[in-house]
Amino acid sequence: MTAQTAPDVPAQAKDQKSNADVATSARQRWMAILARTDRATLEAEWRAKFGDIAWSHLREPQIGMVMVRGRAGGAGQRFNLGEMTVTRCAVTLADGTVGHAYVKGRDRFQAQYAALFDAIMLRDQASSAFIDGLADQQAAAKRDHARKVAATKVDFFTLVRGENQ
Amino acid sequence: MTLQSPTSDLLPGFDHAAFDSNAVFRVILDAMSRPGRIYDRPIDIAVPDGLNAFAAATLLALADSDTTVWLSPGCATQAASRHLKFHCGSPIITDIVQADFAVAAIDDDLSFIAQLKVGTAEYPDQSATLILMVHDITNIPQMRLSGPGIKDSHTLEVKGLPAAFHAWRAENQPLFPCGVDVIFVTDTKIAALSRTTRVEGK
Repeated sequence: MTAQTAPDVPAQAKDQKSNADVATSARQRWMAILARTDRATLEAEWRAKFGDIAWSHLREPQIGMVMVRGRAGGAGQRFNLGEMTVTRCAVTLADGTVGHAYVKGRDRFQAQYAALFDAIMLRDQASSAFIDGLADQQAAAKRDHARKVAATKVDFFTLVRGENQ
Repeated sequence: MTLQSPTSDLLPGFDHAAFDSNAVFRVILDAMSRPGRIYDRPIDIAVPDGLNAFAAATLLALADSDTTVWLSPGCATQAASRHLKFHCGSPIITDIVQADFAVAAIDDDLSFIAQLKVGTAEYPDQSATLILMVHDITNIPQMRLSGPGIKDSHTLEVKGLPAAFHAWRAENQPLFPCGVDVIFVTDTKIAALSRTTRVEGK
């Protein structure tokens, strides 16, 4: 009984939740892509398209370290893999939109521009095309790298110990 | 697609994190080491609702993720809590007994001060610091201060300081090396009473 009547309300709640999830994962996607993009690319695009936008630092770029944690096999005990340098920045556009960025390494300007693009994307998605272009480039680079790695793959089937001869 | 509210009322912190926090820290250090002497705010800073400019600057300079901050009901606006969480990363707590920094305005109910941490004999440094936002600080002879950091004596007047505060200070003083340090802040001025300072007068 309850199983049949219950879904009514939660279905709506679930819908709202998944909407928020969609928004969050979309933001995660562009923040990840921006964080992997070098400073020169971001700076050139910003100068070309948004150079006249007024903005200010909410939090100046700061360099710090985070502990990267892992689990053996993705499921085992949690362990500390090592520390990594990250730079974070928060900016606010003149209309109050706040953008954040956390990027690998110590490039303050990379973090600043990544945060600016995050704010632009939150405001009106004005740089979707730019982000999509970057995503394609990064995917292509990853495929390229994977192909090179795959070519050096060693097939261990040739190294059986002989007892099943 | 609905995005989480893209605008926010977050205010910027220090304009130049290193130089500004350094300048504010220097002034607080001077004020603490020369109790009762009045110093001016060295920098401009954005102020969230519930705090005044010097209180905001003091917290940004002193508080971090390892220090808990308690805000009096009058100061605990959402803007103030978010500002401190964002810029200092400090946990904002509601249990006064745990507070490393307690912030209140002089018009608030100050009965909480008796519950502030005084530290332990082993770790007197683990006491709380009270940041009290006041209307005006002058050196009219209302209180006469003496003790470490004061040659002979200083005079200090803090408008509206209740008698209960002086009674609490009088109980606080013999606890040395334990005890609570007090920082008075107006929008533009700061003065401090360290735990060692003896206060005579009203």
